[in-house]
Amino acid sequence: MAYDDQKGLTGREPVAFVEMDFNACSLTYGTGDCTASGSGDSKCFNSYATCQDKDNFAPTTKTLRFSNVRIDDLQGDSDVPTFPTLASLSLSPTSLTPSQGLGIRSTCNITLEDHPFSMVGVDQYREDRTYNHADRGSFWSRFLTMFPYYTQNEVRVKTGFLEEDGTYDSANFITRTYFIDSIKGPDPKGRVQIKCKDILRFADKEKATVPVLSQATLDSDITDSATSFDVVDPNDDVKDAYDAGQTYIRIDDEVMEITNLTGASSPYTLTVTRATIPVVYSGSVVAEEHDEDSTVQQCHLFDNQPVDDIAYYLLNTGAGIDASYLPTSDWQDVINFGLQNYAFTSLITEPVGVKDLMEELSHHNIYWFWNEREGKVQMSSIINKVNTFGPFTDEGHIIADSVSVARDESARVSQVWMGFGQRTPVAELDEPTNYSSYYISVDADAEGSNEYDQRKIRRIYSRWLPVNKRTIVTEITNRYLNYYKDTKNLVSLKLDPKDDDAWTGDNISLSTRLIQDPNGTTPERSYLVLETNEITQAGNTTYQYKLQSVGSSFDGSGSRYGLIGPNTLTDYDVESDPNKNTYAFVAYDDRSDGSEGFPTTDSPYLII
Amino acid sequence: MIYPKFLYSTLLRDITPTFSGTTLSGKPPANATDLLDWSYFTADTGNLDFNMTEDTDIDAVAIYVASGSGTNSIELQYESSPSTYTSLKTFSAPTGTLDIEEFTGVTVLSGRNIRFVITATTTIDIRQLMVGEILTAEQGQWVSASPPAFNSGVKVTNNISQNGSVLGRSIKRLERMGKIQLDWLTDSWVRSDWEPFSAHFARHPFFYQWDPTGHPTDVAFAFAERIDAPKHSENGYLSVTIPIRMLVADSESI
Repeated sequence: MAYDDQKGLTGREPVAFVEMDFNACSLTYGTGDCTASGSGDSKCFNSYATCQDKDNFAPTTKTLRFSNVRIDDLQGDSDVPTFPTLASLSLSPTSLTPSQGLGIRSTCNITLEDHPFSMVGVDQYREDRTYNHADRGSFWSRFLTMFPYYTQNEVRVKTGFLEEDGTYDSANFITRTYFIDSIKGPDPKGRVQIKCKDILRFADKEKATVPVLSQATLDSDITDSATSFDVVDPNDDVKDAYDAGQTYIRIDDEVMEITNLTGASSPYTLTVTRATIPVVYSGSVVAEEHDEDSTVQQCHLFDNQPVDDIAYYLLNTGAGIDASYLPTSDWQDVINFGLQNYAFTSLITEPVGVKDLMEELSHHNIYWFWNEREGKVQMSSIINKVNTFGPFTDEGHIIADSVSVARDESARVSQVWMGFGQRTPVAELDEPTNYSSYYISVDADAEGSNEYDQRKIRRIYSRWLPVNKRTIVTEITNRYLNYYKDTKNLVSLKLDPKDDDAWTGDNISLSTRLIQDPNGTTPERSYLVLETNEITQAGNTTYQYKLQSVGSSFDGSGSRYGLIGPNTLTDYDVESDPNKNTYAFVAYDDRSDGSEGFPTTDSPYLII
Repeated sequence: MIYPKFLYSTLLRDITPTFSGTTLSGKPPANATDLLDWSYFTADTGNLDFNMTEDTDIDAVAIYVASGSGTNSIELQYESSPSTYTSLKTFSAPTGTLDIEEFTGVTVLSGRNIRFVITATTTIDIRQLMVGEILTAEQGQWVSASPPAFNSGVKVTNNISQNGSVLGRSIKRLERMGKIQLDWLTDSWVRSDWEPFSAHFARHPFFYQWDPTGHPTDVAFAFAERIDAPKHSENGYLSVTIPIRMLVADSESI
């Protein structure tokens, strides 16, 4: 039976377990490639920390498993037994802030009980020791000294259901992926706390920057007119960047372009054009004298690159996130729905945290988030609003007394200002005079006395859009305004596991008696899932959803976008839902009352 | 009055066994004697030998075997004379089994083996094996004794919709908790029999047969929740109470 079948059964038995990976050596002590010599207690524990032949350490993955009930047959024949020591599991979900940044990232806190253990599966040489592990200390206090290098290790949290006879079937479980951030304990009560974060932690500025900080320095003082000089580049930072086509460097506040680099090894001789920046910048930089040992920082130019390619570079090359976590074909689908022209340009002249750069990109109608259930960094946009799940109703889906509705006044805007056309890449990003142009989208009606009677301004400074990208700027500000021009509903509710298909970033339709129209009916409206939290308490599982209305608090339709369709499309009333969700239809001949137009339940399109 | 029995021993745990069948590195023979229910020895057909380092008296054997399939058996033998083995007890078709069996006491001499002859259609997962001398309580238990093999409590939570429909129903098996309470114990029995047992259950689990006569197959793999010293009750007699948690045969686990 599969998870989707089990979750709908009455009498299901929810359980959870955690898999935690560690790096262990695949070799056997003193044999084959391992040249260590010793016996008995002096042998290693197949960990790098205890390795006696580090040059030949052959890493392989050792997985530990911890469950909240005894579950047989989780592990393989050569694995460590599954410890039934999972005392608690607390999941804090990803929380979206569409087009307003990266949002809140998901974390997971795991509490495990410590215990004595024979080290079966952990210590390959336990029978050679002069002692019995079970008689010495506890598992965690010793394991962490054997395997102290655990940060960044992958953790998989699996939740699901046992079969009716209590047996385990992997098909009945879903997986969320995290990475170890810290391990605390064991404490005096014998508990170990493991804090895990999602993969975007690798983009934090203390972990990843673009470009990386250069170790290259000037070999000697240079004048403000010198066009050739030597650079000591012990790590080949400048050379590697130049070889990769990145020709700009920055010394102090001056940006130069390398026209030639010679030398077989450091120091290299650079031939440069002084005080130059890409032509998209309308400002200038000034040639200056620079002192010996001044840092020569390679710059990174994103030159009219699709925004998804930029994000991929930042996360993959910049933050080192494996390509398997970055579903670029899914990202392309998002791009293809109205973001085809989102090609951005920027020269990054100093090391900037990858997270900060992703935050900046996330202010352009796009956002990225870690989907812990898919184990992918997903991309979405505020114009991508196909309802995939629902309708969820009071009768068949929403758990009693779990609904709350709030009106989110804080996110509403009446004007969106975007500063673009950055004049020089070395000036401050939030300095208004560093931008050649501004575009303002205004909803004058919303500011009038019949509506909200106030201005609410959203300011965005974009280093990514040169002054010749005004068309895209217009799109971005208009779309942002369309999305946030009215107060939105924030809905919180709980669903049973049988209805847990919708996840963070999905759009759902919902009908609840707490949201009514003026006539007292409960319309089906579209909502974006901002966060999904699985809560397991006392043997029961529920899913807490936080939803944001796609439209306003009083009219849930929101703006409806569509591409220009192919000639093969049929009439609106007989066309498929996927096509109606993708392509724009200009009109509908009869909306059931003899008048032209869309049915009253459907919105007209904005063509993209 | 019901006189409970306890089998507790670290005899096998303290000996490194040899197995003539296939040994899996994550499920080795040592898992069958590590006094943990969640690690198990996956055995195919073979002899599991424990070589005694001193003369050892035994009169009972307990097994705790995970649910499985196939026609399997576990037979306890001892080396009655060099290379000659005498059968003491055979568990036929053990699957999901937790059992204590007594036999006429024997002494296994130093240097000779206690042997489990394992016959498996494919493999059999053995949670625990224990051999030793069984302890019978000096007095019986009262009505507060908790038969372990009754169905455990189950906590049920219904997810109800706003309009009263049952959306889903989750269950959680509750732990089997109970207590061993013995009264009117003589000082000499407590000192000679109870004290060694309490030294064991302070650290390790044990096999518990609450009613050997009326319910001989009703056996638990039990461990103490708390250790209290024996207390004087009346007229020089002592009483002991230990709260316990019990694991039962897989086949009876709910």
